[in-house]
Amino acid sequence: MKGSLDNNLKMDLKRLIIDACDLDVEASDIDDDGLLFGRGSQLGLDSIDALQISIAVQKYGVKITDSKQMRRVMASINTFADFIRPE
Amino acid sequence: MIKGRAIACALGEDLDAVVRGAREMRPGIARLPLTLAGMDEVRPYYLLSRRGPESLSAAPETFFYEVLFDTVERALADASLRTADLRDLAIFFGSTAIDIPVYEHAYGQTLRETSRPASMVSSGYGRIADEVAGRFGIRGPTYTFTTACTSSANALLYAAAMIAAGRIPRALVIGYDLFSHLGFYGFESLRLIATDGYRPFDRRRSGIIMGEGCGAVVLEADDGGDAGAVLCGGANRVDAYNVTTHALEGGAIAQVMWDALEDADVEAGAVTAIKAHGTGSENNDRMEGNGMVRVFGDALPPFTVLKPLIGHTVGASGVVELILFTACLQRGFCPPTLGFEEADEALSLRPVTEPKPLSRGVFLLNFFGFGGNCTALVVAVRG
Amino acid sequence: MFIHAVSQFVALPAANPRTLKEVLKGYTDTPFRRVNKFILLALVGAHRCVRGRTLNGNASVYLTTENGNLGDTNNVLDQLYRQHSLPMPFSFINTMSNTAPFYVAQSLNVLGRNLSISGLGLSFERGLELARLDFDPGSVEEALIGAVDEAPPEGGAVHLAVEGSFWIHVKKARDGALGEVAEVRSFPDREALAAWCEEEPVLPPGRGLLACGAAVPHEERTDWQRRTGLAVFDYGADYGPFDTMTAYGITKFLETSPSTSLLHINRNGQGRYVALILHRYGS
Repeated sequence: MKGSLDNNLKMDLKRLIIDACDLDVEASDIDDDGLLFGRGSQLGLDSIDALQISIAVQKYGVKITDSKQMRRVMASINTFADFIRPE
Repeated sequence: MIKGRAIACALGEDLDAVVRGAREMRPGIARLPLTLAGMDEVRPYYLLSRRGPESLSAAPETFFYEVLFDTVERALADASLRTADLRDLAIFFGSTAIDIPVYEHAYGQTLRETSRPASMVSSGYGRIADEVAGRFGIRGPTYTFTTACTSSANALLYAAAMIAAGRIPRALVIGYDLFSHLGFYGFESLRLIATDGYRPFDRRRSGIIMGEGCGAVVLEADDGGDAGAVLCGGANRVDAYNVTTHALEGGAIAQVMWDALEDADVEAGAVTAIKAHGTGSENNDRMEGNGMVRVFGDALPPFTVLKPLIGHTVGASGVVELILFTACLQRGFCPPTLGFEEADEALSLRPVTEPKPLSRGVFLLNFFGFGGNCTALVVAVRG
Repeated sequence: MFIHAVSQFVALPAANPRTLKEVLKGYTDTPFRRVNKFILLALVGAHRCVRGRTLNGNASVYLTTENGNLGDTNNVLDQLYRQHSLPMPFSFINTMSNTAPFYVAQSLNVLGRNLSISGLGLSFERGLELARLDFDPGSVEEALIGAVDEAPPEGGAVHLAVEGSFWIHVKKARDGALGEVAEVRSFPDREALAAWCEEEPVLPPGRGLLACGAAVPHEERTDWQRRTGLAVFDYGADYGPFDTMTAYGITKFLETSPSTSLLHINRNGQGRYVALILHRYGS
């Protein structure tokens, strides 16, 4: 199943992001399609948050090394979930 | 003024050899594997010239104090202090990692032997300075500064201020940082380590290369003579923009340079050359470039970056770069920014790229670090 | 250097960073994330000292610490040596203890000097000494000076009952001050301090209090008491030894004493001494 269709995976990713970035929000408050990074996005994350997440996500056996790829992959919860499980 | 000095860095330990290495632009860069984090890659690192192939894994505590005591001993000998003066010395110590290179090793060892995580902590940030004092019979006060990459620059700032205020006759100032896994893998986790050469201010820059360094200077009040190098003043302030990066427009960077010049009673137009911090990160180039342009406008003096010669010696860089820079000037040249070839169009700043004949003048030395720390020092070199 | 406000924060070492965050919310609305326990201890103490007042934008922050950050350094070593992973970037950055005065400065918008200072067993004294050096020529006119230390993690060689964060807000201006740091003086050994005490009575006998730091042995305390003729201000028994004890004692004196003076004597394991003289004004 494509990652973006798996609610459990998406919930896990939200918890992972909350934990890695030390956010004061509930997982259920994070919108699957909303932007995660940059001013005005739903979480307002920055480049160090992206690094933080990229290391935390290694437990899924994925490595993201390129910073441009990192921002593209982590654009939203849906894109992130699809990256982790493409199909 | 600088009464005595000694250095240990990738270019060597004998000051003449180090200066020769800077003139001939031949650094020694090791390539270290990232195996501890399970990565099949290597990263460059400027290790101390005295390191043998095994020394990164063997008895780090012994090595740590050997390098430190040896460097201090040479600086004290260079200053030829009388016994009573030695006893009264105040010590100012600056380091990013403090004793992490020692206790991280113990942590790894305990884990291997007992397969339980150890609870390992620093033996006290102030301990190293007191160990130096104990070794050399120094009884003056000891001060330790841990402000990341400005640590020993701040040690210099306060030592000079305390001497200028007449509180102490002289000071021993030490900057010291050795390789630590914590620092090496930490910089890698931030993706800051260069993968392709060390090129500060070059448009092809690819990041920082760390280096090991130990520097020790003996400072005392200016004798008002016509020789030597004098630390005339400086400043420290914080850029509250972000804990990892300074604001790109360089406002706080400019302010600390202005503050330092005012403290030393020097006009911007009187600055002969600048030793830039120049870590090699894109952020550093922009914020420092913008800061320098704010202060000097179209009349930016020649500037250079020393890190491609010896690596970024983090907390040690204050004392280590002061020694390297002044020693080169006193031998007649401003050291070049090795590796710089192509200017960044967005900045259009060109550092000194060949050894530049220069032996006296007033110099501005910049140091910046994590935690928004900004320190600038003003040094007069009188040949 | 005049003292305008004081704060004390004593915590059990087991206190969770989440608990510290909740405490901090009582003093400031600023949200903090990616901060560790050491930083939170610093923030709680500093904000408790400032209590919503606005400081001059050029005020400085001097954070003194014996051991700096402990918990996150252990976390990073665990990530490296046990999990064989790169460290989490913010855990790594926060191993550098000057991130604590950075967050204090950022949240209070004070952009002057920003330092993390130590001196074996004498860190708070060294911080006071360097701050006074900056105050004398007028380089700094307002500052927060704090002492922050985490207790070592459980299972370590040392066990401490508490950890803490103690701050004083100082200004060059005397108006409205509750006290003063009148003297900070270093001595190479006990004899030199004794000679200073003989030379001129540091405080007139009976006109002040004497306190001794954690490392001054009992019999030596009696000797200082005899030499100075001062009544004893003892804070050592309150919690047993911990790393920020001098700052605890000083802030306790400033918070609880009536109008009087304090001579505080401390030494470290190498036998270096620092004497402090503080005045507490009447309210």
